[in-house]
Amino acid sequence: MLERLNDKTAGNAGRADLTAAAFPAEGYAFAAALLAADAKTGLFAAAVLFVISVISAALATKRSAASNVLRVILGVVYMAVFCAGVFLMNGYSYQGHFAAIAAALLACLGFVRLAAPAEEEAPDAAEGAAEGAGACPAAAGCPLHAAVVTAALASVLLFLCGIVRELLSAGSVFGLTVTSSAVVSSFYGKTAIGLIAAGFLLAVVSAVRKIDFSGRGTVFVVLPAAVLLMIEARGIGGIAKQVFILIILLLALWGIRKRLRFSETGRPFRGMPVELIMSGLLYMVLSWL
Amino acid sequence: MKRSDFRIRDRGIFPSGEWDKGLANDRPFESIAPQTVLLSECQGGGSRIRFLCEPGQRVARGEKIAEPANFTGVDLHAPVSGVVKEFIKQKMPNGELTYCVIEADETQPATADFPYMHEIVQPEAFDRAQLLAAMKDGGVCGMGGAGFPAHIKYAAEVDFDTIIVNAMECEPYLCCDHRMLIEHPYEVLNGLLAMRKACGADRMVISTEENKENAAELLRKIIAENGLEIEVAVREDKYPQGSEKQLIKQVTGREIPSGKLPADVNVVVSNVHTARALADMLYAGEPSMTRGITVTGLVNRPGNYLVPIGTPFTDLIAAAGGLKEEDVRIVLGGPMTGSLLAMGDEADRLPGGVTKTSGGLIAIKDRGLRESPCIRCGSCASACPMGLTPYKINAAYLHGDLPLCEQLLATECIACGSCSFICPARRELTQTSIRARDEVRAMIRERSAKK
Amino acid sequence: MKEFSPRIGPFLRTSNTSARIMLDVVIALVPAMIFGVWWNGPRALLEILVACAVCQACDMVCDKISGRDFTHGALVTGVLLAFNMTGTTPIWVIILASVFAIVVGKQVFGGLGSNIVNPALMGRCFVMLVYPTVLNSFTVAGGGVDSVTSATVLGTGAGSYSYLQMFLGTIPGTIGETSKLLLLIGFLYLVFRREVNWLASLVYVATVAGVSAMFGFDPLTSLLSGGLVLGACFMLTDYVSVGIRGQLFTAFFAGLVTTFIRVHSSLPEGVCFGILTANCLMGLFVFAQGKHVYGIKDEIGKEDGHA
Repeated sequence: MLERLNDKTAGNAGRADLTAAAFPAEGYAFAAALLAADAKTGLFAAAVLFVISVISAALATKRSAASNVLRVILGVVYMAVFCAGVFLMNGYSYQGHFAAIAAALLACLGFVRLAAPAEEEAPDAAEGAAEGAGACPAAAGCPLHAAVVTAALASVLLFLCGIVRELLSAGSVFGLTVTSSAVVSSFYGKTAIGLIAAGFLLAVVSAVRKIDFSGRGTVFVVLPAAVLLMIEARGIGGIAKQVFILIILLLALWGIRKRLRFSETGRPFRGMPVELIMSGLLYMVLSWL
Repeated sequence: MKRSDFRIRDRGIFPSGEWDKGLANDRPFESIAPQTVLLSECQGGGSRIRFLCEPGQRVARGEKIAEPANFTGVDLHAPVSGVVKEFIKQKMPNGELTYCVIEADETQPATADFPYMHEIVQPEAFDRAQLLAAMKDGGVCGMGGAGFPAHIKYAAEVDFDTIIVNAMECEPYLCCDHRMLIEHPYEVLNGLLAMRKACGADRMVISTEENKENAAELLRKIIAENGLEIEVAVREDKYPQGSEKQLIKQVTGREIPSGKLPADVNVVVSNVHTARALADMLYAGEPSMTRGITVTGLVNRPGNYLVPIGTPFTDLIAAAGGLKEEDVRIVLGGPMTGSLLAMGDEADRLPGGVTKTSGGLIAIKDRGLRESPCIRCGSCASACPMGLTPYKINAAYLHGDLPLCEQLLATECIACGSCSFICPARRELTQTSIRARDEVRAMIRERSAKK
Repeated sequence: MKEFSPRIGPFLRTSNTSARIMLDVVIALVPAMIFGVWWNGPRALLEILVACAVCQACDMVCDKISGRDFTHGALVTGVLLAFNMTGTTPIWVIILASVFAIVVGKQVFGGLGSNIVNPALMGRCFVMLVYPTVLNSFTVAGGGVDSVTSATVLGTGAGSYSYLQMFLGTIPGTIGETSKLLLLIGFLYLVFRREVNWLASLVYVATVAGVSAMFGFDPLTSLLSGGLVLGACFMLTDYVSVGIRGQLFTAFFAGLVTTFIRVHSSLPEGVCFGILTANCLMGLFVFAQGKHVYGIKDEIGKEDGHA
């Protein structure tokens, strides 16, 4: 009569754990929130992240101290490439350099951190996945295969996100004006909408690839995003305001996380996606500050 | 640091009115002479008794035929004279139980009249040990609840200061306690005086509700005539005021700490029927063999019956004129905390018979209920007499999060049913709270066993 | 959710149902709705209908995808959302706002009862940030004469309109917010049906009026201007997940934010952001709870019913 709503995808546990660990959700969310505001940067971010994800997944199947170090280096390389790309494309000012690097390193932490747990899970998951009958479509390289598909899907979505946001915020694609409808508004290019988009992106990935994003570090996306927003702030007053908003944001997120324990959030949205969307909504709500 | 005592409102629920209690409130007890009696091995709560008689054995009314089989059992005495026919198993709400079937003789011994039924008798002739022995030998147990042995409860080495007779009968539909007060007030008062002597309390209180004002007046009259020091406290008819914890808080202002008993706050609470049972044993030598039961709801003649323990439920429905309609649930106990005995179409072959703790047999309309999503109205949290937040426990339990249930203090749930009652979304809050409570308790036991 | 046939109590239920509560809210909004349509012209009715239809449709689609039962809470959201729009708001804005309000504001979190923010207000916030100009002009019809103005009480100050006008609603404003009288009548109906925490509403308006007075604003004007009454009666009282005392604190906090915005900021209206901010920070207000559990010692830092 009374059913539990527990619906952990037990059958896909082996595959899901591995690909989940290897999938840089924080990196994707960060890119979706801040980069994929237009088609050009969206494409760039998608490509970079795809490569990084695949390499990370390949590393995740190996369990050695060396691969751990490699993962950290990979994270730093990713962020360096990311920063370079951002500068090339958006032409940030001198101050922006450092702020962007600081933000990037923070995101890098998230990327590295999430890759680390694969160390504990990978041995069992890899063996389980390899031996587990029926759970994997391809035979030997199953976890890597799954990770590549996931990364490909996420990258395509990221690119599409960039296109859609550019259309909505500027009415153009790759800089070419397509429409001048009244629906177009510059707000669609802002961080708030970006965070919401990031949440939806991850939810789609979660639903299609059956990855569980609960317990991920949303803060690793929100923090760098907030820092980057401080670039746009002018003067001490402006920066102080952004810091204040950030503090309220984190407090609110903490309180909302407790509140969400009692919500019937759909499985694809549980955890990081809904928190990202909430962060976006919070940015909108706190815009009176 | 203690929070301020300012509460917005302590709300309970008010499920009762004229529509339910009014059906049988004014119906005096009728008696039934059943042809067979079905005596359950479980006379209340989790208690079990072991039958000492054999099939074919002749028993006399009042003869001891069962002894306790676990800590909470009490002696059972044959309520009728007759022959033990057989032992059968019947499927009851709390599991499959063994029943002793006794075929009653055509003529039963006549019930005699005694002074204690018409006047106040002080228990001077008895000392504490004798009173406790009477409780034990009379098979006196908590007849308003789980049937806990009275002789154990009153023997506790505690400095009792208050004894409360629980005449709240806060559950809708039920009125057997009410009728007992009106028709047998002297037995109840004499029982109370004896129980007071047994526990050594200073203060005696009979606590009842506004809808029993006539009973309260009658009691006050008798008390005044005899110069007794018994308080009659009348409160609004809110549910679940009759719950032991809530009652003690109302009368004495004390809260029983979590996991403890009334004895830990120096209070003892007993039901109206329990008091009468003690008086019967002390002054008439009659062990606990009868009780009042309300048969009401969608029956043709709702009423109250003072019957031998073991009277088959089918006989009670028949005495009440049968069901008005078939599309009903037959509920054993009260409509809030009782269990489903059978559906209406099985009314002529109901399992089981009256036990020492059966207070009601109610036919309630069968309404298909459909859960809808919680709208966070907070009614359940306002209604919960323990101060819990049932919708949170519901969400946590359905997510399988037992540690969160423990944090939400699901262990304190008293299973009163207020939350499910008040929920506009018809959510199964009571059921999940009860299950969460039981599972968290099991989890805590396991945890402390590991240490 | 499923049908069930209980085997243990309680076998009785109150006669109130979720559907009835939602219906009551809609009934309470009808007087203000009628006035809004009369005062703003028939286009207002179209806006209300579009908002309701789109909200309900989105809600049902999302519920279907998530495997949940259909409910009608989105109709209330639709009406309240339309109440926050003006008579000149383009229909496509209403559609976008409805989709945003339901999908992002409510469904993502889990549908009915699982949302953090008030969806209607979130929809309004969306419009205010993304298409800020569409809420700047108001129709003043009132009997057939169409005229468009952008002067509100908050904008031009109390001098332009009398208290009576502000109370009755014959002033420029969004569709649902102008007629305080009719809103209050509807609210009293909900109070009578015991479905709202009216004390929270009172705390909210009292905070706004009182704190505004400290800054030199006429309290009566503060009370009667903008969407305060609408917000206090129908948005703040949307069921939330904190206990009674927490709700009062939330109301107080929302009042402070609303006053701050009205006093300091150039934003046209502070009710929306005030209540939304309070919604978001509600999770922190559990510390204002103080709900006592029988038999458990009270300690600071405990949430309601939490150990």
